[in-house]
Amino acid sequence: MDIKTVIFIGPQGSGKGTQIEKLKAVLESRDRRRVVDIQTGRRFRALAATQETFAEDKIATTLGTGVLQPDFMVTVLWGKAMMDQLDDKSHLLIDGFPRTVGQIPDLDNAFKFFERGAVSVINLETPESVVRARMMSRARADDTDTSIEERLRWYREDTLPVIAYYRDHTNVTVHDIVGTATIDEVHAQILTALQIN
Amino acid sequence: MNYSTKYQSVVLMGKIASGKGTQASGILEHFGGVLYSNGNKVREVAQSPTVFGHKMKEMYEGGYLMPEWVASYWMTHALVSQFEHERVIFEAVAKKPNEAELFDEIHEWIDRPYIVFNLDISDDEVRARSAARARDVVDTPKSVEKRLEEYNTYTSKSIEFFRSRGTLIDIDGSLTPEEVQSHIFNSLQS
Repeated sequence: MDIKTVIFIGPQGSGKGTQIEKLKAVLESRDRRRVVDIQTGRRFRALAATQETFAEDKIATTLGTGVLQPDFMVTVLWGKAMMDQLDDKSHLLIDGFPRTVGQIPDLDNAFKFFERGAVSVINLETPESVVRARMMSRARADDTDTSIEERLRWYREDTLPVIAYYRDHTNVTVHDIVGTATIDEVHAQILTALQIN
Repeated sequence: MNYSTKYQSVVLMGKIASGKGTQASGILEHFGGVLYSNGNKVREVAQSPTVFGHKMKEMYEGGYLMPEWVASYWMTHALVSQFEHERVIFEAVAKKPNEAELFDEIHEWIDRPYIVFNLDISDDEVRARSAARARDVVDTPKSVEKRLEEYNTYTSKSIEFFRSRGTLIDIDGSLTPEEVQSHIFNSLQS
């Protein structure tokens, strides 16, 4: 199997976390390479729980509100993870960044540094109506009406342009996945897209 | 340490041989703080056994440019976490306008006051001072011209940006080091 660098992009509730877990399990069972999995959302929640610095406090107070965290804090989180864990031989699965076009150059620069080669974007296309329904049923503490709408708004305004950018980017392939299918069907679409048989 | 200032970050900008190093030492001596240096960080991580450490070592020994994502990461990490409660003196930062914007954005977000000193000297003064000190390879005429060009292309835009933000103080760098220091100390204490 060739080395995979996969960026998962999709609105909240599109099933990114579940799909990453399933893909990770497949990669680990079929290949001896290490799988490095970097999820900035989870790392933000860990920082907010620490609250030892002013920045961590500030993240804690804004995290549940659906406000987009600043690009530089996102860079600090994945930057640290890559410095500690990444090399040019492991598979890399990414969730939570880039969320804005402004976050792309540093990430590109890091991919070059670690000689990552071809990049795949998994675009989990999920209509807003489906996202709203799923959010209301999962009822996590930070899923209030206002925060859901705010996150949908920045997904539309800030993250959709990231997908558009990557469509014209050499060395990056965007795979459009029907996010409304069942978990297993979405998983199968992803394996096909990444040519994992 | 005998003076105090409200500024938690102090940036010295200026062409080569404009006296940034000398002024940074004076500020550290009298106001306290740490000197932020990418060079030291590179030498430190080059010793670490990670893949990142090995690649940084190759880069450093090969004389390549520091990767921008690493520069962004280190600067942000220093400000939001590592030196959160310490004064930091930056001698070579924000050489490009996008770095200046990042620097400003981080300070605003964490509500950390900063000040930038622009030690202004003419290109001819740079040439004369570099020829006189001939400290190392960067003082050769060819290298001096290259760095002047970089300064006039990029760093001058960073300076314009800080000026537009109202955080920049222009200092006549052709004055004696003592006079320059006196102007800087006055601004820091105001």
